[in-house]
Amino acid sequence: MNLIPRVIALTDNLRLAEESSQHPEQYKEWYHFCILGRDVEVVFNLSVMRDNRPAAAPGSRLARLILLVHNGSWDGDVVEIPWREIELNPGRIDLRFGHNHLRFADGVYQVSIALETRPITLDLTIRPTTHPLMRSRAPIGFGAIDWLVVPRLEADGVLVCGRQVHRLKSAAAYHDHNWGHWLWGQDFAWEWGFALPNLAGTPWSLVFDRVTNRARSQVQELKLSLWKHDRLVRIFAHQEITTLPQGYLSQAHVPKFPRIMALIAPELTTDVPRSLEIAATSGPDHLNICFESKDLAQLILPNETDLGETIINEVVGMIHANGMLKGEAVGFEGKGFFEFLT
Amino acid sequence: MNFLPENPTTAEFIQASLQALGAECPQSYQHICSLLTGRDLRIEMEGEEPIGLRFQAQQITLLPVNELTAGSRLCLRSSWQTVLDLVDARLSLLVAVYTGRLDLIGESGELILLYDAILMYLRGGVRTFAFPLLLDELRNAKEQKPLAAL
Repeated sequence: MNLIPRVIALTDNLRLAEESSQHPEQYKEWYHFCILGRDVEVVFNLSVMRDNRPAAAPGSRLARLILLVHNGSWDGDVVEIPWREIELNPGRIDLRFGHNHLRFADGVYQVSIALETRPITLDLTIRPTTHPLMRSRAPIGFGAIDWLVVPRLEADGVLVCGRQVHRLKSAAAYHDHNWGHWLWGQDFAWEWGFALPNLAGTPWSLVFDRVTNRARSQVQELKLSLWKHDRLVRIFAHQEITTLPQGYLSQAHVPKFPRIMALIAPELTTDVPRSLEIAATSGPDHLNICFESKDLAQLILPNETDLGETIINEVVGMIHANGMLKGEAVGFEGKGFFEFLT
Repeated sequence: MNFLPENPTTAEFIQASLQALGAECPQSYQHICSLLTGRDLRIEMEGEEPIGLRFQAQQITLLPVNELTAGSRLCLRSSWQTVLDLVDARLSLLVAVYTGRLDLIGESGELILLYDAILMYLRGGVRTFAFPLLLDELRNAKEQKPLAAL
């Protein structure tokens, strides 16, 4: 019997746990997915948060939909959906954002998104093939974040981007779900990424997360998690891991979303490394990862603490992984997304 | 409900946006005032009457250009199509300046202050509820339609 759908239904439900902290006004929650197609990559994210704009009524909420498509260049948008068009079902995975929806039924995530601002539509079923990993109350800024990650799924469906139609069949996919209390602009940064092998038959999947202060001088959270087939088999943590960023990714054009933020943060330079080497060692077990950044887009969020911005670099790249785990050789080449928050 | 009349003038748009900024993000409005206190700015949008803005410690006032201080040399010259191209990232600020689609005229130190003030206006704008609506109305009124759509 396949337990994964039951585990997902029980663990990946919408929390809306605003009152679980003394700062309900800082609440945020989102569902995030990445799809790695043969010739296209997709990132989409449905988020709800307390609206902390200066003129927002106390207790009001804000919903955002992000859809980014990368097929040589980037397209997509960040769209605010009026709250009256939002339908949420806490305890379930069933969200309606206007005409867009995400739900989990019959063992699969069902997603339908159509941007009104760009000619992009996405209709997918996404089947989880690995068990999730959950983390509670990880420190972030002055608050805490809970997360659940499903490192590997398979996506089927259709993406239409302008005049291009991409039919996705068993495309590798990744999902995480985050909820917690903090403010954009507080003293934190993260590097968060996943890698999936190019060959579907390769059993390994991995997720890396590193949360630091904004200056990246103090590490608050550092983990490298490895799955074999559907099971989590190893977590390396903190002192077992060293990271070595090399160089900087240089691009003549840095797409920024929402587009208006290009006026506020027009810089073409980033502090995204050209490559990130991660070495994990614990006794006889060791794993070496090299993420080579290939292309990036920036999501730019207005800070809630001041009039500045937080930039999330969404970076697509190639992964080389090799090592030894419980006497078994681990090795694969693959693709993934890393986020570098600055 | 619309913020702007059907075919808004530059003065009407600037007035409405500053009013929204003052009401919804006063921190940004005040910062602009403090950056440009004591200065006048002439705004020339293609095909429209130029307008003037006077920056005081607490307030930004629209005024006819013939009332601008004689010594004031700050000037912004552009077109609404350029503004919309910038907003939609079809054009970068750098390219707009290099290609003469956006002229900022003044002494270098004054231009740095003006640029910081424009950034502050935008930073406040993205935190308001009114700006996206104002932009939609502006887009409907000013955006050049492709020939095929006419």
